[in-house]
Amino acid sequence: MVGRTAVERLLPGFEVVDVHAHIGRWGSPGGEGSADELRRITDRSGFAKVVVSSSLAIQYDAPEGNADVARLTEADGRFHGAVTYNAHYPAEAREQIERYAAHPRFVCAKNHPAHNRLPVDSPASLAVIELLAARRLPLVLHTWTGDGPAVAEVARRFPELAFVWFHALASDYREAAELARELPNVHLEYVTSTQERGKVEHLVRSLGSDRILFGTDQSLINPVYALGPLLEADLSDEDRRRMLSTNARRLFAFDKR
Amino acid sequence: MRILDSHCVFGRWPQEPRDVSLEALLESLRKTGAERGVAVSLRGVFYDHDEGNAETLRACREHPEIVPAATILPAAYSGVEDLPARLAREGFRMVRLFPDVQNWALENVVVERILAECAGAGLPVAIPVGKRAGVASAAARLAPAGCRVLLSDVYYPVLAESLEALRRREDFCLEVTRTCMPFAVELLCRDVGASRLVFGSRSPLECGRGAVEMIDEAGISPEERAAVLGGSLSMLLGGI
Repeated sequence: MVGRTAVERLLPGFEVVDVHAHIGRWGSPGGEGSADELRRITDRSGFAKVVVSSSLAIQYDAPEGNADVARLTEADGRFHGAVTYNAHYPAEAREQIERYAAHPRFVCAKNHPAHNRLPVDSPASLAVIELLAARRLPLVLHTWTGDGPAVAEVARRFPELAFVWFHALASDYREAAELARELPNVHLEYVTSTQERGKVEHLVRSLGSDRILFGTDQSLINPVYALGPLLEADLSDEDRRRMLSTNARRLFAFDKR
Repeated sequence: MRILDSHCVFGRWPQEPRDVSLEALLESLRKTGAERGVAVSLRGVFYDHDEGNAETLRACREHPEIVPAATILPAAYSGVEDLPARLAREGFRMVRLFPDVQNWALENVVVERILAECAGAGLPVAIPVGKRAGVASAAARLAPAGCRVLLSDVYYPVLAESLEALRRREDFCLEVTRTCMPFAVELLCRDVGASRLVFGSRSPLECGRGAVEMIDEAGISPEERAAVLGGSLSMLLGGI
């Protein structure tokens, strides 16, 4: 697309890393969710790096969706992969993690306990997390209102493993910040389609900006929409820079893999 | 480009520690770049609709950037008086209902009466859809012909249902803010037309900037953009 990107228009001089993106569909009208579409959207947003998992992997078939992500990351250097696992299938989960932990474009693992209907603190899930901890492969985890005690317990149990709590427990974000203060291995990514005013400022005030990451949840949410709360928040440029790229680069070490 | 916000509140938020004061709303409109916002007093939502509506009118007299929207609690509506007609005479431009906060279902004969009376009074009615299947369908069935309904807070899981309601009911329109999937604005403009799409932020509870930027960068014509950001709402309310 000809014209300035969203980053050039709205955040000139900043680099943006989106740690929470998907290819695939979500069962609603709108985009097609294809890899090509994600590339076109990223052309428009101007994001430098995008960490992608597959909605097909999350909702239905992990190996098939992970393979889609691998193809995208191999074709376009802006994209890095998150290997999705379903702990209901332990052998498959182990195989997928081993395979993509060795893949130079994959930087983390992804789990969605709500879609799998398998609590993150269940024995089956803990067995997979043990493998991630041994591999030091960060785990990006879907979290939502009410999940605080379970995800905190898991983070306490694996202090050597970095966790990113996607959605920062949604409307329980105050609890997320409080829990994360005691858990140095936990990072928060705060996107939801409900954009509560004051949420970003509260997270930064409570936790500091060193462990907060920017994510969009595209292809479910328009990346420009996701930028809104950060644009409105009363933050220093240094805080914005950390949240938009520095923290993600430190956590995922894109260039060292 | 003129930005008009269809979805604002002010007062106190008793369920969480939030600053939703009138001052916070005015600041929020400034941050969003909105020229005017259609607002309801939360006193009317959480306590008493007569007291709240009176508070809304007072706020609007002092602050011309606020456009008055009334609310009606079905549980407190005896229906012996035609409240919507009085509200229209007092200068209210819209009625906004709060079934989620007040815990009532749309399939309620009192609501049916309120919708009919609002239609008679020429007042559009904003109904929050949220993520709940069935709400847009119920609104399409219950609202009498000529009742202009604004489907508000429409999240992605119920967008298809809400779109179908709009196809069946030409007097319905839709708030685009929560329909925040990539290309949703383009799809809606193509499918139902920009004249039936309005911007609404739920300020000051939420930020509006992201939605404005999303509409601004959408692949639609300048005329469509102007309609979604403000023109359609102005037309719905008879000019603001």
